[in-house]
Amino acid sequence: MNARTISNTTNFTLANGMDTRPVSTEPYISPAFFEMEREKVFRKAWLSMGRIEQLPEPGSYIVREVEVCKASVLITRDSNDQVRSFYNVCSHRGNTLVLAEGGKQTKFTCRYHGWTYRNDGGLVAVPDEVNFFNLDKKKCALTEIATDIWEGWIFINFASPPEVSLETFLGQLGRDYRGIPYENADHSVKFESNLNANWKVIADAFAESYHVPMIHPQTIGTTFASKDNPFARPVAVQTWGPHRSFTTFANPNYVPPEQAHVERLAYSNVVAGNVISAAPLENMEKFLKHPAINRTKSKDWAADATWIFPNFHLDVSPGGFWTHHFWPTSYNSTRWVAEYFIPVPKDADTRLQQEHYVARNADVLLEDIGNTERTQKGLESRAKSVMPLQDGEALIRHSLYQIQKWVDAKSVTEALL
Amino acid sequence: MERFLAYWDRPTTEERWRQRTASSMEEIRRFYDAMLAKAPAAMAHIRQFPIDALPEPSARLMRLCLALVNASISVEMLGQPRVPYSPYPQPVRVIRGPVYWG
Repeated sequence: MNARTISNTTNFTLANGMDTRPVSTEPYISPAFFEMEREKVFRKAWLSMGRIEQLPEPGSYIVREVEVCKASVLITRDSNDQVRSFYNVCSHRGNTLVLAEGGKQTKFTCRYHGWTYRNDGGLVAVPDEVNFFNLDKKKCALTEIATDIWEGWIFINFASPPEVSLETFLGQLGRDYRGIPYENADHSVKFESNLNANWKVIADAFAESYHVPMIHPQTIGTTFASKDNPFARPVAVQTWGPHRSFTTFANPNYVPPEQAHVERLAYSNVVAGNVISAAPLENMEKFLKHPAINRTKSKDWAADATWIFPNFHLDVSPGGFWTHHFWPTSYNSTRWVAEYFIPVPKDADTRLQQEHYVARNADVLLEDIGNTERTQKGLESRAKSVMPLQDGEALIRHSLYQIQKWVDAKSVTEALL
Repeated sequence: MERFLAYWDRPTTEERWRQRTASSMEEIRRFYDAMLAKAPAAMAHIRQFPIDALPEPSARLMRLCLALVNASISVEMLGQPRVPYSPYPQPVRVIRGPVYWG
């Protein structure tokens, strides 16, 4: 048995005020716990909906599903650049108002009876209005959902009104991460999957690098581990209230193997940050200098994964940034979405390299999530009631602690203490 | 290249991935070997044009180069058509690939 000593271990769990006991498996498999998460977490926290660039001009709109709150959310940008969110529900008899995923429109007409709304939610037209009984259109606007924007990230809150502001919710993390230039925020490659696993099983899979040498040996394994760090331990872990981040290690000496002719061809004319990010290095100077990114300025840096409570991963690396969202659809199913923000390719060589990046990434993601349904099945068997977590899995522990805190707290203010 | 066009020439990243993962290693390898030999010349040809205004025969060549890239994951990394131990058909979808043939 290997004895734990100061010299052969990391120190993230204790340093972030957590204990080291095995954690309960119950939150991953209990329908009752899921209902508490629904009411005490997802209906109270600020939830990430996407980037402001996804509403590129006045009149733009997007629709986002938030199954855990049983809501379809219509997000609009009006002629004064005001961004608002509404329940995508007609005020007449509850039909879904907007069926498209997004576009540009200043008015929305319900296809059931023709009720028409402006993009500020106001009801402007009701066919055969006189045959209603004292219908006050001003009282029939779309029901609004609290919306705020931080650093170009759109957040909503289903509490009416939210107990704390977005600024208070993000706290010191929101301040530390101010001023990061999000390059290429207007274009993203998007992956999606519906998986038979609890949302936390999937979020956990992307919150540690311990799995990398085993799960990704051929796709990215040699880039995340080396002789000096054979188990791909994190470089750093930090927490801010309910939020958390870890910095992963990169093998600075990675080059494509000799026989990887196409990989070499794809990267021969493009200097990309590393294999896990797509954009060219030259745009990244300002990004990389930001104090919150690669906080320790380790030369062996692959990526920072920042997990904003409850279900939003914002990841940055030398070549750019990407996001994960984990949307619960039931206690043991999840819709997972990953978006990688990469530039519009200016030439064929860049387009070729981007295809290599996306194709490798697609299989890396498949390696990650292929495991998650098996894990859920194992947890639901109740073969085990606890999971031992190592120090490199501190983010998982922190997530479970914080969710329990929100479930137990009488208020969001108490949960944030 | 004609014999490969019908199968490997696809308009999106998602479709290229699905074609590759539905193929045998022999089929992938055959395409990879043939296309790799042509790729440097193909890319030199494609570079003559702006990427958003490729004439269709050149665009088709570009899509085959993109298919080569997808096939290379199997050949150069996995040693088999698909990621081991993962569900098939794969539950992950590429909703949107890179701009142009993504």
